[in-house]
Amino acid sequence: MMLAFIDEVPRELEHAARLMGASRLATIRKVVFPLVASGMMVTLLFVFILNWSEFLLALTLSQPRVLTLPVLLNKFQSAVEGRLYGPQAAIGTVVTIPVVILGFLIQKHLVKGFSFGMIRR
Amino acid sequence: MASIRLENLVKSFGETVQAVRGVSLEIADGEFVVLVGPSGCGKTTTLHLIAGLERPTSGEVWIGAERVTDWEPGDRNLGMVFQSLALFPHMTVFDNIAFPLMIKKVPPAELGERVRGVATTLHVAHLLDKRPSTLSGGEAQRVALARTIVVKPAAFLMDEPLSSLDAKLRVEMRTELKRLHATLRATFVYVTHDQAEAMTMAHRIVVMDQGRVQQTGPPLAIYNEPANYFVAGFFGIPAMNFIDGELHQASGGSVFQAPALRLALTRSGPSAGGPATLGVRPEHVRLSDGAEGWPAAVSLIEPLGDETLVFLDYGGGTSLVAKASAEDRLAVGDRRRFTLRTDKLVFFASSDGRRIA
Repeated sequence: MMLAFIDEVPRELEHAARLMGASRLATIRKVVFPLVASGMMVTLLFVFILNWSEFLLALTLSQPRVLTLPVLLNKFQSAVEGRLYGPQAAIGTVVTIPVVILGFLIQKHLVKGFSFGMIRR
Repeated sequence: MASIRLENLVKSFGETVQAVRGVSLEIADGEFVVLVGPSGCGKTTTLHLIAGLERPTSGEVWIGAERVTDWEPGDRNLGMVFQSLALFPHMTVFDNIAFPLMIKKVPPAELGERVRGVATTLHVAHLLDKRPSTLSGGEAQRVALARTIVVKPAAFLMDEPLSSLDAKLRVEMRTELKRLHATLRATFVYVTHDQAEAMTMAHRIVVMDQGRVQQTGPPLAIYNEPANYFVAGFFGIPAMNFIDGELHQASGGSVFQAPALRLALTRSGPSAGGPATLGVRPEHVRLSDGAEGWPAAVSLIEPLGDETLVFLDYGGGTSLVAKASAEDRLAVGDRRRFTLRTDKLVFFASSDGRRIA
């Protein structure tokens, strides 16, 4: 996903920077990086959501005292009362809050990143 | 300012593609040289080799007295304007122009002064706070030039910088570039596939095809004395007329024989016989009112305003294009006779396209 964003940066921009005397590192830092920042934010959100909602590995590797939220959500079940829908729904809602907050924080970049049209050719 | 010398430059990509095949060229200090040729002829690769953006497979690049073949692009003190202009979209116009100075760690006070100075010269001082995406084509062009000029490079390299502009603006910018060259008196190496740009701007034109230099010379020499079939066909709008035929030696000169056309050459024509191609520019094909010349039928007319292009079917394989006065009343289907200016004819060997007369 990041590769697609980096490929979007025209090579001529890098060539121009190098001709002006910028080192490869300076070219990446001052030209490429600012242009792929939106793409990085989108990638960050995707990676965060993937990890935040990960269930199978977390279920296998977690201990009873250290749980991830998706694994905890699965535990709201009682032998007497059956599935505890109320608490489960409440925790489910709380789990989404960090993702929503992160989305709002990087909203400016998301619009650019999702549109893929961040560089005028 | 500096001269540029290319010595037998070769650039291969992989084992099959050879983009530049032994280009040698001397560009004098302050000269305006235009590399021209069709797409894929190696002109942009040659420019990249001068800039250092590509390393030659073999051969050498000299700038002034320095051999710079292995130098990094930034160490060569060259300025380059790219086809897409390559303005940094995330920076303002000021930052774009200041970028090369910031890289060279010029003190802020001097940096601001130089940026504003060059921006005023190129009439972009009122745009310094804007982003490149909000500029018009001409403004973006001037900003790209300003960014190149601000570091006072030894030579300017330009890779089809006007190709993205509309026709009217392109003509205006052409004039501005010529004026800029006259002011700066710097070495300009300009790449284009547009022969009109090459003809109007260059001190010297370098015609390239298939990675090789086909001909080097002043614009009019290239136009009037093409070295081979390719150069003759590439320069001129409309293109030169070509007639395939055979040359025979006869008493008192030679004779060119083609289907529906026999031409006795009294001047010092080609000495060799055999298959040949006759080349004649449209302005040297004359419609005659008398009985001399060859008969032809007008098959198409293209009025250009100041003159008219007339397509003549004379019985050969292709039509012959002639330039006629706009005042000539011509209509499709008219039967006219035409003559050729024999002092302006050129001949090429059919085997390899080299000029034989």
